[in-house]
Amino acid sequence: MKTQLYPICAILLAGIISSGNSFSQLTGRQIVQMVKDQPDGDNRKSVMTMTLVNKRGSKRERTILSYAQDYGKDSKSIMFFKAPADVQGTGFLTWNYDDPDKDDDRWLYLPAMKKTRRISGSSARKEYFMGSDFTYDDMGGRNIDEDEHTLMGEEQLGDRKCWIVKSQPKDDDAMYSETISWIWQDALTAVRVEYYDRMGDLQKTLTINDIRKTDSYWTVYGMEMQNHQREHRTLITIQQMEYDIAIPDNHFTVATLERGITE
Amino acid sequence: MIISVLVLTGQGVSAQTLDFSGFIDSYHAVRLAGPHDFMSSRSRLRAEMKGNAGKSWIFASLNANHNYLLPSRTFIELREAYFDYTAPNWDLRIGRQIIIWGASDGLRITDLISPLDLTEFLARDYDDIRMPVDAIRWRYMDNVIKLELVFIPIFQTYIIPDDPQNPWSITYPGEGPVISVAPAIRPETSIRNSEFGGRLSFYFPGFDLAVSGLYTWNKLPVYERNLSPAHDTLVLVPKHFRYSMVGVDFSRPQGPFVIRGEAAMYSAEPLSTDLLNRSNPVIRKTTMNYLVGLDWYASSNWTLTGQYSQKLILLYEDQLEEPRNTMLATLGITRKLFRSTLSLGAFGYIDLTNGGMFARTSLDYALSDQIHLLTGIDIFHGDAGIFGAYNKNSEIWIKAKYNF
Repeated sequence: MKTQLYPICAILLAGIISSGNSFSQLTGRQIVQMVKDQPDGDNRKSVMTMTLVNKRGSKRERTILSYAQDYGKDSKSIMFFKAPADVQGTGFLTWNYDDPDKDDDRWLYLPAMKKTRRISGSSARKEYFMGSDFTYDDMGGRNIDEDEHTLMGEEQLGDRKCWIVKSQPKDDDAMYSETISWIWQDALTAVRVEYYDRMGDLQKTLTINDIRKTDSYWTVYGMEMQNHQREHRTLITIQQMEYDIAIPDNHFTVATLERGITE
Repeated sequence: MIISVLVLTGQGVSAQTLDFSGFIDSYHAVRLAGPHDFMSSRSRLRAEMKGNAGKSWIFASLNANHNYLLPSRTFIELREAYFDYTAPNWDLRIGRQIIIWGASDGLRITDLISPLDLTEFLARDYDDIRMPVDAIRWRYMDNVIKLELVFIPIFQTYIIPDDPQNPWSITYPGEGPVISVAPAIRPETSIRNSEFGGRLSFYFPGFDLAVSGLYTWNKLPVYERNLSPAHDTLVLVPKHFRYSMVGVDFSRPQGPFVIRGEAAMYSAEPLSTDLLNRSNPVIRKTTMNYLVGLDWYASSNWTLTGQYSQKLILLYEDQLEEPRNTMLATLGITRKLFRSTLSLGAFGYIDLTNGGMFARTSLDYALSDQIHLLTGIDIFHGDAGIFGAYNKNSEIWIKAKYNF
């Protein structure tokens, strides 16, 4: 399963580990695959607030409503900006494909123009999303086999026992030279991720600060991405999360994007 | 009519949610060349209301305009006002609305429903130029298909700048002959004079395709030109005629690019003849129109677009004022900086037939999520064609906008 912007965190997605499993022989790839494969419902709805904080401490807030639905390994998502006023009503529709050789389909709806336009599904992956510290790739846009995953060891982060997994992109043009993830074994969720730039310097750190179960699924309700090089932070708070809700088949279409959804 | 539609349909909508939003903006432009007079000076309050109850929605958008240059453009208008009923696989919209077809930017091939307000020619944001129509729109949609049927019972023409005080007016005093515009002869509102059409769109992985047809009017009038009895003024008489359009448009992403295209045949499109042909001022011809475009979503938040369009008049006659072939290109570039707080943009039209051009550049700084400060320069160049006619209208402008 692969999600897009919607729960912000394909790699952070929650799950339940049955007790008694032995992980002693696990590889880095198997751990990342478990994180990716864990149940998170067939569909999801969320309302989240994204707060951008610059080095002077001034804040800008975006509130986003989004829906996502899985179709096997692929998924579709639709999201709308509820605030601030200057982007209110702007919508994105994305059909995500697990196949790394197949570009996602993306459409953008601009309410002022009353117009939907096709946008590139490949070029945005390294771009920062709406001025935040998250790129589209950070938010779950990467296929598991686009990186080489190595289990580095185990470490206790507070009361959380974590695997440490290093992921190095196979593509020379990738944005990061490597990422190092601390994956909480109980929740199969990365609770800390360090992103290193192409020079090998620490660029960003993602910290999960609120993770709880909702409808038996581990759900990240609060996270912070700190960009050390740009002295900028992005905080994400999930205000509402629902799983396995009734969503019409034609919810993830251009017609719905143009119609708009407010709740 | 629109208000009554809203009132009647709204009686069944005891709003469960009601949202208010809008903005206040103020725009001022000064001519770059002497005498450096104001080209535009206006402020506006836009108030929008959206409410829903179950499957029913109402939306209303109101403009309170104050124009410091043109008293006739100071007014309050109901820009959009419509009622929506939404079912899972179809929806119905009744009222004043903006309807946009096609895949092009700033050029119109199949996008013939909503007319344009050319009070300041193209020297405004395109969403401000676009005008609503009083219409009924019904749509059917499933996972791949969207079928849209429209019925427009009330004729709405372009707004042509003809106020002599307006620097953008086609009658603005200049070096040429004195021009006046006679009142337009508009089609009466009747079923017989209604416009109707449809658009069938397909959204496939990696490819969008739409076919459309419209029985419409030339909302941009053709002009019958006469000399005044004293032979000192050229009198333009705007005229509207029926014609029809069938067209197709597509979009296809390819890596960081999106390829777009539109093509349409206009049947019996009215065209003006030259001044010498006084007995037959308008001739109807079939014309072929197409556009190809390329968007490049480059890295670092750069977006570049280019379009080329051509119009070909079939069975051409020499007495037509318009040449057999007209070609127009556009170039656009946008870049977002400083976490999307600063946007640089430029969009230019190049008249390949007459050699003129118009380029609008802008810089948009988000002081906060509510307040935007903008400035820009509009450049006209050329000696002939529509852009050449405005070659003394290059301007610098500032704008402030507060969203709420």
